[in-house]
Amino acid sequence: MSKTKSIIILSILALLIVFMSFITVVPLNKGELGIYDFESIVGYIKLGFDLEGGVYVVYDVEPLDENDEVTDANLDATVLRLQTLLQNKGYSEGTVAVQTDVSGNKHIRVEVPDVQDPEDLLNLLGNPAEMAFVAGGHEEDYKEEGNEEYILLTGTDVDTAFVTVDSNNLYAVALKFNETGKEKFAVATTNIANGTAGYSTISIIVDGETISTASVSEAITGGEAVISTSGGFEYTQAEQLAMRIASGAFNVKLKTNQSGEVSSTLGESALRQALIAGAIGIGIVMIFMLVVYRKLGLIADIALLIYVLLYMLCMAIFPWVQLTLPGIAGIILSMGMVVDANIIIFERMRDEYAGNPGKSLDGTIFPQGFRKSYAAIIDSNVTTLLGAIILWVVGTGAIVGFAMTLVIGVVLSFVTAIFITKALLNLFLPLGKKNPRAYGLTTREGVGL
Amino acid sequence: MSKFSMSSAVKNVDFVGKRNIWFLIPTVIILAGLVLMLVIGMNVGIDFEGGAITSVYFREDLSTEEYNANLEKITNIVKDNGLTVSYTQNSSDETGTVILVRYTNVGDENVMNVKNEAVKAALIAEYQELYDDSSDNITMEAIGSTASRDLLLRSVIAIVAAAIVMLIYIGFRFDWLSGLSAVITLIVNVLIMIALTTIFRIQINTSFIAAVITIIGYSINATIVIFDRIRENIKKSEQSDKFNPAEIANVAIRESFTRTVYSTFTTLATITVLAIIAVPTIKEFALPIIFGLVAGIYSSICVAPALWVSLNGLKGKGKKKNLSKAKK
Repeated sequence: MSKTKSIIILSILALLIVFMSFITVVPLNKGELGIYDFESIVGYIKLGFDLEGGVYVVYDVEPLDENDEVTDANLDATVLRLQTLLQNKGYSEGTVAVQTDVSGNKHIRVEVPDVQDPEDLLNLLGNPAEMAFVAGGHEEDYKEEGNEEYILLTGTDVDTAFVTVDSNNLYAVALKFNETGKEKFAVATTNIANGTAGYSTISIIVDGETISTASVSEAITGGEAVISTSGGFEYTQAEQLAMRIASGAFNVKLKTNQSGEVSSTLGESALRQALIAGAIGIGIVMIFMLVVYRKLGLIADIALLIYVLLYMLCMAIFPWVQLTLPGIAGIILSMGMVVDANIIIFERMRDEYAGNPGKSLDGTIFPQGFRKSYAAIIDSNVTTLLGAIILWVVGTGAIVGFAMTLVIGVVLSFVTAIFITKALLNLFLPLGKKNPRAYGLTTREGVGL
Repeated sequence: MSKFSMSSAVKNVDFVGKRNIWFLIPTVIILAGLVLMLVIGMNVGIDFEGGAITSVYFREDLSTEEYNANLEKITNIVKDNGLTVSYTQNSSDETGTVILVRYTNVGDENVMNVKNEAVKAALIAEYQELYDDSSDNITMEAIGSTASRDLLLRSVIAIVAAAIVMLIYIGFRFDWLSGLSAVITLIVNVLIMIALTTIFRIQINTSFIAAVITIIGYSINATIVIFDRIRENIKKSEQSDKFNPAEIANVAIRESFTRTVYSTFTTLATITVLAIIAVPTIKEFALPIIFGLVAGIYSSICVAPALWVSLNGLKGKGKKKNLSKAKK
């Protein structure tokens, strides 16, 4: 590569880096650019409860039937369902816990971090729907308090609900029953199909309102059903209903006692401190590399900077990634791996040089340095990636967020170490003298076999 | 002109030879931690142990000094009852501000009921001037840990599964003795981390799990780098027909010494800055990682290769026995 070409490409790269750094940390406010209002890239990263705080709801828990009591088993099941509900709707960092006040009353506390629209979440959680499948023609009987005779299935038999399109291409709500629900539904539809039921339709009643009445023509044993209404639902209607059914699958009555926004558990300044510490840490690392490896160190520093920018970008782009304190640990580990990879490469280059001081830098020393480091770098990155993927798949809660951060970090570190460092080196070579000492290469005692 | 390097500084150190001493140090630390854990127990935080959350409602906006002053009053009342504060939060809207304080259980349900009532009573007494009837504006709820225990179990399972997969990969890419050494070293690192955390009474919450995983990843990386050199040197020694595990291991350690020191230094630098600057909860998170990093550099230099040599020694003895049997 010619010197001029190098300079041009490096200049463009420098500009790009400056631009990226700018939009990563600086938000653009409405006033400055007219209509546009951009958050900084870092601002787009979703944060966990420990760093950002969020929305909380405390429910009173009451039995479905006034004469019953809420058992511990009920509570546990409800907690589980709430957790599943949150997970399914993308709030993977939400937590659900049971609280008891001093008089012995039980409540359920739900906390969800960094919610874009608190209204949405409160609608989801604040309005659990009470749903029942009732024998056709007996809707009024059901609506009478305590009359269970004609209830075929209830919300607790539903596993999940989501928007779908029915056979007329109109929006509808699909239901999936759990094991008990599947059986009950099969029995009910079989009875209708062969005429032993005494009724011919099934009505779906949500919160006391008959949403739809379905005629049953055959036994449905697959455990799935579709609620459609004549003329079809509007998409938002269907979505609302699906959400409410999914949240209504409880075997207790949940009433909102308190709700609101709450600060992070780590404190207001936690995130800012972490960022400052991170910046200082990276600064120390960069100076270290520069002092020890000189020009090579400079290359490693630029690569590290590019790495951090790409990392922030990925974190902001992938919607399901949430950053928590454990996630920061994942970032620290991945950054350590990038720096480590570069150190491995440079030390190999030094070994090459020490063994063959006369050989050409770009002909032998540098390529050999890269070649001999590949095995170690590939092995360590693949191993960590395998571990992170297992954690992502098998883990729950905070572990998942950590795993995702780690996966992104490892993939990027691999790309950076193998491709970016090499590319930068190739760009730098035409500039200046190929003086080994300027590249931090020294002769030294060998220690080999 | 020969220049100093970290590797040449240790040119003549027989790392593997003194391995009995090296193995002793982690053993002592782990045993100490174990004893402490059995006698005093670990400082398990609210995420796993459960606890209580108490809130005080102020009918107005609080300035920062007022907020801090009240926060201190409340946390002192909690501490006076022999409890440790886990997290503090605030919630504010047009009607006022709420200060929430969470603390961990220190005993079973009966013990905690008494303590919770005591704390609530103390708070009501403290804030008598604010309200005619404090009891409505001061709440106290015990938070169960059932969900968290489940989470802990699942996390541990996930970690073990991940570790197994990683070690199978290492077993394939290197040799099985390296894989085995890596397993044992990994377990040792994690145990040292847990032991030191117990000894220094650091609160264990969900972030500790993440710290453990981070150290697992880190120590596997360090182990891989050294075993990569060993792998390379085995090939070299095969050419000269001389398989001396001790020498191969020593050379491998020396060759990668510079890299090990530099890499650990860079990661330590970042995490130490975090430990120095940040709020106590983040410090609690950073310290175990530092323990793990120090344990990691120690074990990747002094433990893993030495184990490999010892295991090779056992394998060698086995071979000799088989040979002598065959002769008969």
